[in-house]
Amino acid sequence: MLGRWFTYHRRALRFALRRLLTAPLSALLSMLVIGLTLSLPAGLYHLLQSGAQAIGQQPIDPEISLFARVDASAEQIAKIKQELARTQGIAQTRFVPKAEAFERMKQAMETADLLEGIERNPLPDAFIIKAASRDPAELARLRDRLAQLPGVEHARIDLQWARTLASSLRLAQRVTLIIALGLCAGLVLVVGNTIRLQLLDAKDEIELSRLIGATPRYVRRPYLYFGALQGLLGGVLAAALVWLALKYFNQSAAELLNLSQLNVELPNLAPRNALWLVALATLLGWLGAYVSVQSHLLRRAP
Amino acid sequence: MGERLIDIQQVGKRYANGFEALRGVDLRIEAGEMVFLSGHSGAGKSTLLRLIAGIEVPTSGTIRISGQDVARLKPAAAMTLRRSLGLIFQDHKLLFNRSVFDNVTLPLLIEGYPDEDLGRRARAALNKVGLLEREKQFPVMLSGGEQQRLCIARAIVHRPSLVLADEPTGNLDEASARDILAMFQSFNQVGVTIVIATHDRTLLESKLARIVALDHGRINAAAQAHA
Ligand SMILES: Nc1ncnc2c1ncn2[C@@H]1O[C@H](COP(=O)(O)OP(=O)(O)OP(=O)(O)O)[C@@H](O)[C@H]1O
Ligand SMILES: [Mg+2]
Repeated sequence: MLGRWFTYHRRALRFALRRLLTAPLSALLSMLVIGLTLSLPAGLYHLLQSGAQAIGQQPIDPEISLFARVDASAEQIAKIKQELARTQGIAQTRFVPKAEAFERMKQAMETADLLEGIERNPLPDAFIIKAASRDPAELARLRDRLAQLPGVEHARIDLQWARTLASSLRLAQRVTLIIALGLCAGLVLVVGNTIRLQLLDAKDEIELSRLIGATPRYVRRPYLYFGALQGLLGGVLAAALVWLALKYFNQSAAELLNLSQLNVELPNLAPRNALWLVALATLLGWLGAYVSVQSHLLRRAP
Repeated sequence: MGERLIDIQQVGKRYANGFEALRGVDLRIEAGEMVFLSGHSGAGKSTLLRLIAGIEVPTSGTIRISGQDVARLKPAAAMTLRRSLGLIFQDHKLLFNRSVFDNVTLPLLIEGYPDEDLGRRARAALNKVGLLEREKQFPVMLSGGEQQRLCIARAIVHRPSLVLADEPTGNLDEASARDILAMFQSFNQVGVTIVIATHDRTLLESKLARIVALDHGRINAAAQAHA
């Protein structure tokens, strides 16, 4: 009957709430443990996720940066220019004279104090080359060919580092997930243990209830609510911590990332993801309670 | 009398340690009957009550309640059967960290009675055993006889049609035992079937019920007596 079902659940929830309120300190402690434990991997995962996404969204127009030797003469630079004009597979070339690069660096560093002592420009002349093809193999061939040119110190494909970074971020994400899995298992045990203590406290009542016809489900229900509620509170704390940390991180990251050409902005935890986090924490609490009550009932089966 | 409520056939119980507590027990109890289960200490009275309630399973024979084989019930059905009984335990099993009122409402909570019924039913039960004024107290504040009465109130609060009482007058003086017997009599008069395991002379000599005597796990036919 629906009315009776509702009564059972209302009473179980009331039991759980009363338990939380009568021992607010231990409830707070559990909430902190759950919140802190979950916020670390959740925040890290989110960070890596949005980082990888941001990098993935960078324009995929591959560029090759060609650096001349620092001591290259003007004739040599002119020669390189000619060669580039002749080379096939190049869509566009932009020359960045060393003076311009030096100027930009000074601006980027805000205070030029650091460079004050440096009389000579340590930077080389450079060419930013847009390739006609996007095929990685062809790009690599082009880069190798350009690196051979006389007066060229180094040539590199600029997309490469972005790719490498993105894939390392994905790897880090996977590692975070594995660590998170371990931490989740730990949380199940933590919640399970607080409930185990409560069960020991209530063992006479549970035994009597079973003797006069209480089902395992009836015995479990209030503790499941308690575990889930503890998880829920911990999850809310975790989401709040992640949100605050990301807000702070974004502020400092925005300044840092301005320096690079990358236009990276990390989004904060989306409400949907925050809900997932809370749901996960609730589930973990519930699971901890379930495991705890089941093992109690099995150990004391009449 | 009425239809057969409890039908025990050739029941034996051997505990895990090999001890045979019951052997070849045959017993039929009609609906509306009151029965005293007597016998020396260790005769198997408590064991038989536990088997009837389905708390233990017999190692041989069958026990039927209203035609249902108790040992073969699925777990959920076994619990439903148990909730329909009124059980009084030899060791009381009162919850000492709960008020008298909370002790009595436990079966109602398990059965999922709505809030508005709890107080009414619990007070009706406490009133029947004369503990209405004590509902806010705790079991430690009750005398031995009052604790026994609290056990009775808890056993009848959900109006079971079958009550299994294990030594409900253990350690009580004669007057208190008579009081409690009178209570069971009044329940029996409104149709409740009652099985009382007891070695209390006051009860057994009252001649108010059929006596089934157990002796070392067997029914002792010579000692049977009828009301
Ligand atoms: N779980 C058990 N394991 C092994 N032996 C048991 C168990 N429970 C009871 N017994 C034994 O079974 C016999 C019958 O026990 P039971 O409790 O049924 O006796 P009883 O007639 O109720 O005695 P009393 O009047 O002292 O309560 C006793 O000898 C007891 O030691
Ligand atoms: Mg006994």
